[in-house]
Amino acid sequence: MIRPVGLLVAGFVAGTVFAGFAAPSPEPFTREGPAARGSLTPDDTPISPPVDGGEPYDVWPPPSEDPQDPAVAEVEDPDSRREELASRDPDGWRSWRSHWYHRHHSDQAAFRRLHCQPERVFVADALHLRCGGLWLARAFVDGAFGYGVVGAPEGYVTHALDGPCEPVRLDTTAYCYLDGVFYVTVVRGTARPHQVVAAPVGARVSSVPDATVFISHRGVEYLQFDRTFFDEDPAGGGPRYRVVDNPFLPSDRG
Amino acid sequence: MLARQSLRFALTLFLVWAVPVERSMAASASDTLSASAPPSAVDDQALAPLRRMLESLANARALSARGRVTYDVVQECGQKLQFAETRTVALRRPDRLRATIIRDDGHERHIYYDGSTLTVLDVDRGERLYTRVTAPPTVEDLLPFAAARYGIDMPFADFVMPDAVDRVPAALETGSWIGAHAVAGEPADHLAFRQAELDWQIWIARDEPIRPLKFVVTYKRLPAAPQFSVTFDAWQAPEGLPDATFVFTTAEADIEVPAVPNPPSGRAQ
Repeated sequence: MIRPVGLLVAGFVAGTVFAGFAAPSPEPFTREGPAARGSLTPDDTPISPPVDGGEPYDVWPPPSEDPQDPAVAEVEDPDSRREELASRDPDGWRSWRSHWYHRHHSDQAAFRRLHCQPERVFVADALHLRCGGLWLARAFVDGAFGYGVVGAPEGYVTHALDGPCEPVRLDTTAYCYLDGVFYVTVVRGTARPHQVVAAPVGARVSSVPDATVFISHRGVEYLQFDRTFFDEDPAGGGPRYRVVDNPFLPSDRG
Repeated sequence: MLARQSLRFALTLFLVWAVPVERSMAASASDTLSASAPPSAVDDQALAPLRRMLESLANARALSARGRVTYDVVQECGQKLQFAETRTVALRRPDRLRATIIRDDGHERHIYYDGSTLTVLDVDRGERLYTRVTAPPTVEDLLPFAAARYGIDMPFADFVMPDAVDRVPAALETGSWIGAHAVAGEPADHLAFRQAELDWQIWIARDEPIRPLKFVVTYKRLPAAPQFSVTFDAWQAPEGLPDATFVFTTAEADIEVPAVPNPPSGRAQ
């Protein structure tokens, strides 16, 4: 399942309180399923958009009807999708709503529960959670309180990155880009650790994280990871993805 | 690998239309179902009580309901498990709603809507997490908004949406009056309907106030055909529900968590 976790952005993230963490709870069963809703309307039926697209709950374009759209193709062929889901539920992670006959995306963008004991990391007195290479924040996603995948928090300093980073230069600043996060080198005595900074608008990079989602706003499609939005220019030379302003910020609503 | 948002969803609603018809209490369920070939349309005898019920609920300025719910969940191994909840909803039109869902494992969900803000509080094993989002100005707009944008299902939404009477007929393939079957001793019309993806039954009180007493849905297209069932034990139309009913007040242990909207194109599942 795909979620615009980065929408923690538009005002949500400023007040984020990290709610501690729950110990892994590998329940042997799920109590989620389509019958739980008791609805007479199948889940795949689109609903009408609100008449006032300019309200605070923003735009609501109709779903794609293009059969070439992977999202549509997926719904048309739930059996093959189920097989794909089964193959993509790796490493002990239990993907959000991974029930086997649900017709939806499965993706590591958000999790209902964790199968790891998260490391607790304080940055600027705020608690952040980390499982392996993933940073997590408590979030309410698709009807439940769970964990959203986010980028390393701004201000976080590390002496060792999880892998080789992509050098990025914008104006006069040199960045190191890895898994959706931009780092700059800082001086700590004789050491030169990396510190997380806000994604610089205009920077171009050659990859985006697995948890990146597509999101459409006012007819424009963006890629979004945590608080960072990208647009894509596959035809152009150089890095494929470009950091852009958050299109959901009120100042951009026109 | 990048994944494209798809996600479909929907919120719901139902019901029908009808012409009041005098019915023969002598007719049995077997008589109704075996009298001829399978019905090819919705029987007026089934639609009449359904429509009366929907109109009654749609016209109520305030109402509250409590239902004992069970539902099946088919596990990955194919085993079907049943879970239970008690769901309550209190509604004051046009812009107040309060709902509670108490699961059989003790997990509690409390939903508050005061006309401008939707709050969801979950209480689970000592942890109290809540989230608040800006919401549409009426209950009618709130229900589809909450379901599609945040995956929040309101109890018994099928019954309380004012446009239910107009929505259901198009989805129905057949409808039958099964018989006069009591629910917990109260006389009721037992009705059965079929739609493309599901079959459902409803027991509607024969005496005033007209209201649903029991409701069963069978998701026949899904593996193992899971069912949802609710038996209502407290439909009311109170004269007034105080504002405080719908206002969320934080407790010391409550922790706020940001809400992440679903993709604009639809809802997961």
